[in-house]
Amino acid sequence: MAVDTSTTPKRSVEALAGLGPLLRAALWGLAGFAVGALVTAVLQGERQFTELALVVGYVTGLAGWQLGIGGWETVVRPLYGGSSEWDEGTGRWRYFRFNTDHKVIGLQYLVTAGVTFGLAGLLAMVMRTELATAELDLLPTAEAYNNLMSIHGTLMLFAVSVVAIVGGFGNYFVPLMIGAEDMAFPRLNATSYWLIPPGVLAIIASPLVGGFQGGWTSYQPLGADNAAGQLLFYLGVYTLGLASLLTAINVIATTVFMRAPGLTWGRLPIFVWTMLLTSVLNLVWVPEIGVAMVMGIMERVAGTTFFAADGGLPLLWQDLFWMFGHPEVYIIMLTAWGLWLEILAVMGRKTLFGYRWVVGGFLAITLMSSIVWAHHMFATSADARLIPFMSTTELISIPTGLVYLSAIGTLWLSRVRLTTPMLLVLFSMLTFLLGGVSGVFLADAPADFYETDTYFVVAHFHYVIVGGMIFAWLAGLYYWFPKYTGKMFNEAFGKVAAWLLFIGFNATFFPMHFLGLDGMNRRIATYLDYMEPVNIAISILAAFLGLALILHLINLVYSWATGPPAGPNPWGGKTLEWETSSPPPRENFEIEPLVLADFYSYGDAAPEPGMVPIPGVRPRPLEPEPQRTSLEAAGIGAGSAPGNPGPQRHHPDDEAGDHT
Amino acid sequence: MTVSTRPADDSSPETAEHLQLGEQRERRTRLFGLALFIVAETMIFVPVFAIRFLLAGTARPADLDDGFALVLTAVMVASFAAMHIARRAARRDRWPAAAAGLWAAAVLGLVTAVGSGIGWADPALDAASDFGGTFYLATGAHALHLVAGAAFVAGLAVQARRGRLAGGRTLLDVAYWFWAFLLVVWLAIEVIFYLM
Amino acid sequence: MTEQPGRPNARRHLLVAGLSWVVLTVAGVIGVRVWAADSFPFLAAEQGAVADDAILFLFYLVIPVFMFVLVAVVYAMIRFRARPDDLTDSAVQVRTHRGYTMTWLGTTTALAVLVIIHPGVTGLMEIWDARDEPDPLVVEVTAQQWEWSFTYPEQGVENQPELVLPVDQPVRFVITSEDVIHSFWIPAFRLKQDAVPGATTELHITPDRIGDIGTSEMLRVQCAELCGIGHADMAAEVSIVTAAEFDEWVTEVGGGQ
Repeated sequence: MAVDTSTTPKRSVEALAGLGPLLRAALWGLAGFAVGALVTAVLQGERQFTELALVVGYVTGLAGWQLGIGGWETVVRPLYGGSSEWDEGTGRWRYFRFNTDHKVIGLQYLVTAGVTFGLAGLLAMVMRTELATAELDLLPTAEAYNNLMSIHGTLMLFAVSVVAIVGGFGNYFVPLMIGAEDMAFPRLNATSYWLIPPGVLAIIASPLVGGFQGGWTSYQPLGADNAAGQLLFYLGVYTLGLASLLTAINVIATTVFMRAPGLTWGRLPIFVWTMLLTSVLNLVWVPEIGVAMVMGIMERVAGTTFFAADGGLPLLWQDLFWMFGHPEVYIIMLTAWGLWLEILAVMGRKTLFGYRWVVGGFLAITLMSSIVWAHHMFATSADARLIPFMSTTELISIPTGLVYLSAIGTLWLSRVRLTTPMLLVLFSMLTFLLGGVSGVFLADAPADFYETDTYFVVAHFHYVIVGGMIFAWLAGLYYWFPKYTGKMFNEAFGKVAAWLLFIGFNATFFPMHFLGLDGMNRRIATYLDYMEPVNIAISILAAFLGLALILHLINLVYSWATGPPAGPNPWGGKTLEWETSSPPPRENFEIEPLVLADFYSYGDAAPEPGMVPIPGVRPRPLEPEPQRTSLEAAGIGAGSAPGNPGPQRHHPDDEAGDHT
Repeated sequence: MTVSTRPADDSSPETAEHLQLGEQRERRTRLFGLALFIVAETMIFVPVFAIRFLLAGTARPADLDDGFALVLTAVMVASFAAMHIARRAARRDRWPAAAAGLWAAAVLGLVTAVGSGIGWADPALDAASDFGGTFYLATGAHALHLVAGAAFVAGLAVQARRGRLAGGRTLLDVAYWFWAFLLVVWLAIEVIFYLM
Repeated sequence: MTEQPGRPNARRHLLVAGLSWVVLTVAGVIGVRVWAADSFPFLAAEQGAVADDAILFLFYLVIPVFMFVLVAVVYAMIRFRARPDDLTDSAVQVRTHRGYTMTWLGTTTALAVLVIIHPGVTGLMEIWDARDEPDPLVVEVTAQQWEWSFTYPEQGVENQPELVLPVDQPVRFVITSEDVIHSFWIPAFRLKQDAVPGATTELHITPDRIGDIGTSEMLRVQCAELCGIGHADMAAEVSIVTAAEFDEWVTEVGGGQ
């Protein structure tokens, strides 16, 4: 969304007012950083910029940023009994400030993740250009390559993969799909989003203080040796993790307490199930990785020796990292699978196959994902760990297989409407499958000794994360495009771009399997000449992948600006988000929906999920509220967030406000 | 889809009932949110305690000043007691007493935090040792929680002095259980780092 | 297309897809056999064959699985297509299907258990068997940013920049690092083992093919764990020679006392 500061003074004034909170946040953030860093340096008696000053400055800067964007008016001032008056903004300016509407936050997440994806993708293009030849020729030093590679990986994992679907679609669609007015804790939600930009900026800014060259895993003790940019990795990842954690609390509370009447657990939309379980994983494992990040910081600024060879355990970092890091793979993938199944049933006009089986599978994955982490360390681990972790890793493929059971069971004999989102889901099923298949090779310890730390692994996780999650994200961007924009995208253009993406992706990453087997280790800027022909080919083919992504971007942006109106339910979907206008009003539904059946039944005998309250027909109520019609009950309760009344809500129970 | 408007008349007797229900749901949601938060917090301190045993076993520096730690424990317990008094007073609508209790809890919490900071100067501690690193990590994390918690409790105290709390007593309960959690964590630190 | 509801059509779809699956699976297996016959990279160690065999065996297991999904998806894309604006529900609506689900669960469970046992556990056993070889040649491998050095304590040869090994002689590598974590990998030997500062790790290998970097570039020591600026160039030459040539080399570099 370009900011128009041109022509008439009136518009520039409006822009300035609209961007006010953002500018204030930047100013307060910088001031916080300066004050924190200066005070620390003075207290330390140092005349130079120390690492501790950087850490303290970042923390105070982050606090300043949060207060400036609106945390002061919405959180701090009301806490101390002051007014909670805050202008949430209107029109496009809503997106540039603290806004508690989950739909605004969802789009903030989506656009931020998209921009970050573009940035990190550009870095990948630079890396691929460098790798076209065996020698170092594009970048000045190997260190520059390592820094680029580390920033690419860190952004893609911590600011795109775990954020795009969970933060973007999760915030936008969980309340809509369960018939709620908003998330359970809207202010917490807005706070969580506004942690993302500083987290991303910290990682991008790391080259200013020397960068970090440990990759997204930043193994110790290398992390303690690196330049001060390593600190910004810890701080940035911590900040992004904090955002995920707050979102997790919000999603769980929302799903448990704010479902529409009749929306029992057995009817919960499959995407909401995956969001819920993802949030459970985030809730449990993000704090754990936070501890590791703090330990990494202390290692540099407090003189500890947790990971030092002398006095500590160098491998402790790897355990701490992967205890979070492997559940993270499922944090990334669960919601992508949820999207597959949503789209398959709707586009195939066929009852979702094996709902209970697949939800059971998701539950099993959530539990098992916590006991597979050491398969990342087969080449390091003690012998005693190999067989147990190899076993759990192979066994987790069983519940993962249930996703395909349901997907294929739904797809078979369905009426496949090959729209762009459906095409992308089918492609995602194939590419993720290949990632899963190469995962079997990596889970097998004897083969893993060969493949680990080579381009085989690079190919594997790109198939899993890009093929699985990014494809599904794109599918979701198209599937829900009519809902969040109110417009229809260009179908023909989208399909061409989807095919190009599929072909470009496979052409780029499939050969990497063989590069790995042929002896190309990962995370290198230079390599032996014999690998050059394949690398040149990959680098050229990668351009098609980049082109395909740009085409998708063009399609989405152009359609958003000029697409024809889509109407509330262009696909004939049955979940609740299709029962309201596109885009939905601030309070989502005119009346609180009433759920009478599950959302995935098709065929003549299929009952309508029934969003319309029918007098006299009461589903199992969630609240002890006898002697009232559901229509009346619909007026209150759901999401009446304290201090954040929507434009049309103004109940006396909105405490903490000056309006009472 | 049938379109209908929300009940417009906020003063109808039915709406008052609705409000009560809304408040109930809100209260439950908030307490549930707190429970989730405490689960997450537990996943901060459990790894820290585990790392202490992983790196240093059950060993600790012999000359660590455990008398000072007992004093801090007494202060932390007193802080929680003040919180308890504040909660009881608020239940009986005795707001000045509630405010006083909250202030006392916040100040005593801060004293514990600052005190454990002073304890860091103990010559028996060495950041570069197996024990010292996790000691600083655990007590530092706890102290930061106390400082942030004290800021929150002070806010509630300011509100309580004016005779009402946003969200009724729910936020006070949130503060109470959070304080109870911090007390438990402190006792765990006392046992794991000073007594074992 | 207008599908008539009912069994015969569904059976025909299953039959065609099933046949395609069989054909593609056979084709895939043949393809892998052809590829494996001469495209596996240069191999120069007994234990390395375990990894290659595991990969080949796993191919046989995953090809049918991969082809199953591929056929299902592609067949659906082609044969079950409907117009985008056609909102007719599918004529076949199945919520669960005991036979399909149980076969699925049984097959995936059997496959998962199978790969744990073989090539998983059996492969590890075979790799670990090398530890029981009598009289191994001991080579101490020291990694540091960004070079390798090799010490042969029994031969009195110290800190060599290149690795020379006699063919068919079991070798016990004792690996450590001076600074950060590295990974000791000779691509031609397949197996890699991380070098961890403050600890030693071991790798037991029996080289079984004479050669050097001129024979194949897979015969090099390559650091496989990111270790800083010089990571890519952290390599050392490997020569596998006859026992006589090895003794000669030992004398040449000043060992042998």
